[in-house]
Amino acid sequence: MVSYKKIIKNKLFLSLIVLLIFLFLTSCNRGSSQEEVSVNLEQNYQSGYNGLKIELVENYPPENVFVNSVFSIAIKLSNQGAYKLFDGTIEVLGFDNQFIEMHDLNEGKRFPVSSTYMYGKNIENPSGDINHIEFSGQTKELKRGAESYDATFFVKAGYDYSNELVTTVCVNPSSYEVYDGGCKAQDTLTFYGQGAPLSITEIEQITNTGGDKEIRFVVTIENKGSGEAESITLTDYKIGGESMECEFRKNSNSNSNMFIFEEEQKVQLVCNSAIIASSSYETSLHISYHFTYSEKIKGSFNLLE
Amino acid sequence: MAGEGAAGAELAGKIGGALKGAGSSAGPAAKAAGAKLVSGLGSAAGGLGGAAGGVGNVVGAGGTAVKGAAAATGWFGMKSAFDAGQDFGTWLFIAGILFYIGKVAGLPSGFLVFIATFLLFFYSYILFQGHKGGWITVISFYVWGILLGFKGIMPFDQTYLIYVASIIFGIAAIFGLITKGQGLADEAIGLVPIIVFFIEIGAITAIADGFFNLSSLLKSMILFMPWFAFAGLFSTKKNNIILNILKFLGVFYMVSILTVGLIPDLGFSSEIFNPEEFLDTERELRSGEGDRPNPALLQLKCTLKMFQKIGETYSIEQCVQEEMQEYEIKAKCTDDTGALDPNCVTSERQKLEAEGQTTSGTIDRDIVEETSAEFIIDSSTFPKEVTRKVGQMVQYPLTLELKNPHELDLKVRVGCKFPANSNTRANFDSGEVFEGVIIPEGREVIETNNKDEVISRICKVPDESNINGSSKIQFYAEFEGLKTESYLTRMFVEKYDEDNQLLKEAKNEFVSGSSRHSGSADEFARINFAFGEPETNPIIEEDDTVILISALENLKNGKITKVENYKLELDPDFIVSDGEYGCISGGESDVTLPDNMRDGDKIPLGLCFLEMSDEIKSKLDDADFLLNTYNAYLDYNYRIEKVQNIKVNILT
Repeated sequence: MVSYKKIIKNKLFLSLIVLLIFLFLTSCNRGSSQEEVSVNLEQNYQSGYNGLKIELVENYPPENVFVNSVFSIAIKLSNQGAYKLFDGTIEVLGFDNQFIEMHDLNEGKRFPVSSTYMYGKNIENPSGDINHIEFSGQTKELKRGAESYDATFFVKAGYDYSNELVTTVCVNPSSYEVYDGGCKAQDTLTFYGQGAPLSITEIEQITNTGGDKEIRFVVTIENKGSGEAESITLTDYKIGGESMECEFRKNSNSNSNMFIFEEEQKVQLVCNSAIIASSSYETSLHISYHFTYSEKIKGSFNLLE
Repeated sequence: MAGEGAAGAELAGKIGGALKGAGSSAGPAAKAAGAKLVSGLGSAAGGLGGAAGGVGNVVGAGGTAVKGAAAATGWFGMKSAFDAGQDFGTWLFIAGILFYIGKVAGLPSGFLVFIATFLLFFYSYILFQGHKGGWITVISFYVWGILLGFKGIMPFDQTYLIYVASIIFGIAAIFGLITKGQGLADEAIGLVPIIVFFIEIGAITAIADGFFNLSSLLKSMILFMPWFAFAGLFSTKKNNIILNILKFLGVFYMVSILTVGLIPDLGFSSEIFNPEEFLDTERELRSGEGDRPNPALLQLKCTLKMFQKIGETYSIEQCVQEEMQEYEIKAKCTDDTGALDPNCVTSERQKLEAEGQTTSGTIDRDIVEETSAEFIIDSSTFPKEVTRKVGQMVQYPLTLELKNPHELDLKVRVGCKFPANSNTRANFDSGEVFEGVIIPEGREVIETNNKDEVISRICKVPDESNINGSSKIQFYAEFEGLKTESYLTRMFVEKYDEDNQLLKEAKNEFVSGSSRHSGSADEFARINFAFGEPETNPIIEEDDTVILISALENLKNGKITKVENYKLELDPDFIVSDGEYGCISGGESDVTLPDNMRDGDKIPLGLCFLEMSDEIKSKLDDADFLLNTYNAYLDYNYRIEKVQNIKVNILT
């Protein structure tokens, strides 16, 4: 007769095996935080952290390129975010001049091509605007005695983008009121992207119920994309249709509406507004900004004799 | 014979005991693990410990096998075969043999992996009787290796590997805790079938080849051993004649493979003929280029010196290096009578000081075609020992194999020498020597630009040499027209910022590791050069003060006999702003070659400052970074030598 203990042990053991396999298999689907956000594009394009997507067109360049020949690098740019993209520059970097010479000028190529903007995803254009850019180059000789050379390169795109958050907040001028038939103010609101890589992730609401009643919003703007944010410029900051006083924390820039990112890809915006009402009410909060962003991908091909 | 078998078993037990003691804290669990691991390793036929234990077992088994060989026929043999067939290990052995045959025959890979998977789980079933924890290890590595394709290894993804390691160790730890430590040992045993599996399907080869070159020993072990068959053979629980014979044959086969695999590593040295010559060779290695002190004693001496230097800046490593250099100088400058030549000591110390102003280089692994030359001495045909009457000719074959993939126009002069004094410590550079006669006469010089050239001549002992008894012959070849190129890569930026992800990634991708120094093919000699601020910094900023150091390095054990010219191609990006112009080009008169050159000797060429051109500065305005590789060219003559022991018995 098998003991009860042994049955439990066996079951436990089997469970561990199943758990192990399960954990492994789920690792297949590990991806960036962007992909984990569930986005129902049909209902709301202004969510998630997508921006410009850069891809190399297959076979441009091919896997193997021979010495003393011409090759092309074709790049597909698609605006996967929710906003217009403009003033883009794309360049190919990293080729060793000893082995490869690019035909194009060093400062890169401008995009969008043949229009001012690349539009993001919307109801009429669910996949966003797409552009193709091509670079060409010439390969030279390998090192003497070498049979191949791994030509690795970067494709870097810099562009201007926007982001906008419109949300409803509850303003409660008196948190200590026992009875208030209005709304309940939340201390912190969390967001999962507005359709741009540099997005508002959190808004902390602080109400000053002293003499001059004032509401303060501490808005956290974070880079959640795979590129680098270079600078951000506020364009609109209103509560209930009225402008707020906003400034970036730890901003050394003389222009208070502009912040230049350094090592940390995160900034806090502090906005203040006076409260006129005496009881709580719901109102709209609107913050929008432009920012400069850059993305890069890596590619390679074998240079063969 | 039975006693030897017992001795073998005892040896295996001792190895198991040693493994047990080697850092395990789980007490009884480790004891079981140690013993089981040894038998598991033995069953996988991996590792010398397992082989040693296996050899011990098999000597005993062999004895039994010899005694029982006659009895293996007839009814007794049939009974043994039936008995063996009842054992799962036997079935694994048979399946392993069939699998190996299928592999060699070239069956489809997908089918082989399927069969190997079956054999893996079958072997695991045999091995894990009562040790279920092993299944955790087997399943973990199987899922990671086969289903996920060793994701995280190539391309290397540290984050993912940490994720995988955390899962495996986490589950292993949970199981270990539940089983109060016993499970840990079982999980360790799980590695045995998984290693066998991955060796059988060649995964180990594929991964290892991506990171390093496998030695011929390892390659032999991977390619020619039917691992599952061995696993089955040594997992059998039955003990009968047929199985013992198979075990004996199995270990014999394993030892053969190991021996064959070892020989290419050792090389078929023509100097190793008999025990006396073994010792002779070792003696020569010890004293060939200067007596070297025992490194352990040096380390002890310098460690004790440290106590005298308390309060002062002191480095044990530097002390050891300096002591080694002093030994080498003394050995070089001491003559046969034991007297030390002070002038020689001064000159050698100056040379060492000059070497401090040189720079290193690396072998560029991208370059696969290189110029090389080697004297070939076939141990089976070379007349190591000859007997002659007085006045009879003594001749030796000279074979030089030249590889010239770049079809350089080379002039090769071959020759041979014999020492006047048959002292085994004969130095062909000093002391009296006799020049051998090359036959056909007048054919010592060969001009060639063939990619592959084999030069065969005969070296005749000159009559005046009077060689009698043990002596040596030195073959030499002098090459004119050799050319070696070196390459150095540098990354240019306006200003390097570690926080700039693009620059950081570019640095890691293009100029990390060996890019600090120049690289070349593994040929006879090369130019080493480096420039930057400091010179070994592969990233050059726009406003850097760029210093260039260059040196000539001897890469083989021969001698650079002449430098025709050398040139570093740095224009149009750089010009020499201050310093010796010889740092970027020169000829014979610019290089002083020492008389005695050794492998690794460096001769400084030049030290100067470079100025970046406006052209490259303006390119930097538009680009985040630039990358460029610079060439250095060396045209030179070189001499190689090979010494061979000989013995001439002259009959009077």
